Amino acid sequence: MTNYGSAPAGDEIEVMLFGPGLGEAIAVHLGEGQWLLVDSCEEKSGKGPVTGHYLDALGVNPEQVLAILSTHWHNDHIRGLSVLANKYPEASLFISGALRSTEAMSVLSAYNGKTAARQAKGTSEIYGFLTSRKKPHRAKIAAAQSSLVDKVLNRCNVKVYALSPLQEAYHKAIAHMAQFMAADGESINNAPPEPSPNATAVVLHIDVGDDAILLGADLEDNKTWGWSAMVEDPWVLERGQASVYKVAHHGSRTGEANCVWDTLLHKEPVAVVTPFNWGCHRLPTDDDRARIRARASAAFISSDASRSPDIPAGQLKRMNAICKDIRKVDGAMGAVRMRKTLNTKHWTVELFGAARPL
Amino acid sequence: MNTFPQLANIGAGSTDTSVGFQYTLQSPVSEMNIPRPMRDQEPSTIVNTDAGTLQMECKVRLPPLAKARTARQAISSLPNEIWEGTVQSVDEKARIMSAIMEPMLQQSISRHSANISLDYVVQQDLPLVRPGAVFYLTIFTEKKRTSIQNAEEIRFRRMPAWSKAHIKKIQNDAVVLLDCIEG
Repeated sequence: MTNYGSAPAGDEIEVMLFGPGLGEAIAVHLGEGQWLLVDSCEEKSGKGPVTGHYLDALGVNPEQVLAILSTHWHNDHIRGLSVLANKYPEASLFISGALRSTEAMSVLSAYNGKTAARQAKGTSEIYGFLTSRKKPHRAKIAAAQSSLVDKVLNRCNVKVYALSPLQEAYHKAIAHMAQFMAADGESINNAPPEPSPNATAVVLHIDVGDDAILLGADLEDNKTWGWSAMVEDPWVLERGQASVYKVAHHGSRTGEANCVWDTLLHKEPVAVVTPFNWGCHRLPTDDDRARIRARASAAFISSDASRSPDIPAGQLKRMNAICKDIRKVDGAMGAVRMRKTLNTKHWTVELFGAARPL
Repeated sequence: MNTFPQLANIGAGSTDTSVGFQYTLQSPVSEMNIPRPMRDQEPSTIVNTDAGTLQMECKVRLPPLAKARTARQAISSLPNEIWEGTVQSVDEKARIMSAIMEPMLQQSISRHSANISLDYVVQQDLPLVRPGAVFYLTIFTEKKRTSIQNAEEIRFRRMPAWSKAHIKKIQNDAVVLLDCIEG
């Protein structure tokens, strides 16, 4: 079990980013022991959400978690989300505003795990997340310009805003979900594929004291619903520039937009990224790494472990007869922790497990 | 011996060597070539049911139980691992599916991804190969009377179609779910 040391001091800001290879979860200490959780992943299937284990290790009480946000409906961001919702019953829950539609709710209801259990691993997490709260503590939507947290901590205003999804993403989400609504006589064999490209992800801007943090989720670039459209909004440009950037979409080129680095971030911020390992696909690529390193003062990846198969030799030999490109999905859990005392300049970065400089 | 390939739902045997089987015919009986009773088979009786299908009862003489059991024991399959896979994408051109697979027997082994050629999917399962579909890759050892053979098999999970009752429940659930989110 990883030794995470002690909890941050009351006047310390912390961003802890977990990512084993396929998955992402973030815990943010906003000050005075108050936490925000963003997305969820597990070290290993069925082991429970990593951020829950992390807060337990630091001795954080359940009532210290203010809010939990599901940035978007992709399986690598939602494992264990329903467990977190139940573990922290007083936390406000947020989901992407683009999911608040009859179409999306019909798909969630159809694949909530009761009818087609094995086909519903991701959808049942979101279903459990939403149904964990009853009136008047229902889940809230996060959409462009909505406020998730607005508190005074350490005599500073702490504001957490969503910068996306934009209105144009809603239409895309509805059209996507409508394709997978259950229809009389149709096979229930397939769960809905994850939306691609990712237009519905919630980007977070966290204003703390004289600094800011930008969590890019998996938003991709596009002139009508992506990064380029977002930074045209004068309200977005009024946000303070961030000194920490959780790079969008696992550092991929599709999530890259120069306007983000030029307008929303300090010159040469600290950049952190989680990998996305998928068969022969690997994000970030070597080109992506070089591009991010060139823009950041320091860059880190939550897990850079080997992806060689971890299967007994005899069995692997037999599997190789029918399977190609067998790779371990979760290389190894790793985490990047950044801490800084309020109103100071420099972040202290600690690497855990398989985390490495990018 | 089942002389009708169209027949399904074979009943279970008993210690009696003369057992009644009930078949449900899946095509009109007029289109079927019903053979004359075989040597060890008593005459068949065909019954019209209310549902418009035909049921046939026939008495088949089975080998003595002890013999059948010995024959079954001669072949056994021992699974070494069963991987539950979920199809993530399908490349029809390259005839490859990408999947994430989780071991079901040895929980200490972690998730793996792999590309699998559709040539290894049996013909009857091919229509099921779509993103989200679930399959089982079984790696097993087949023991026959005189030999031991390694074998692998991929079978897709088959689900029924949505029914009107399902749809109604989904619609009701969706309304409740939508109410779980502040407008």
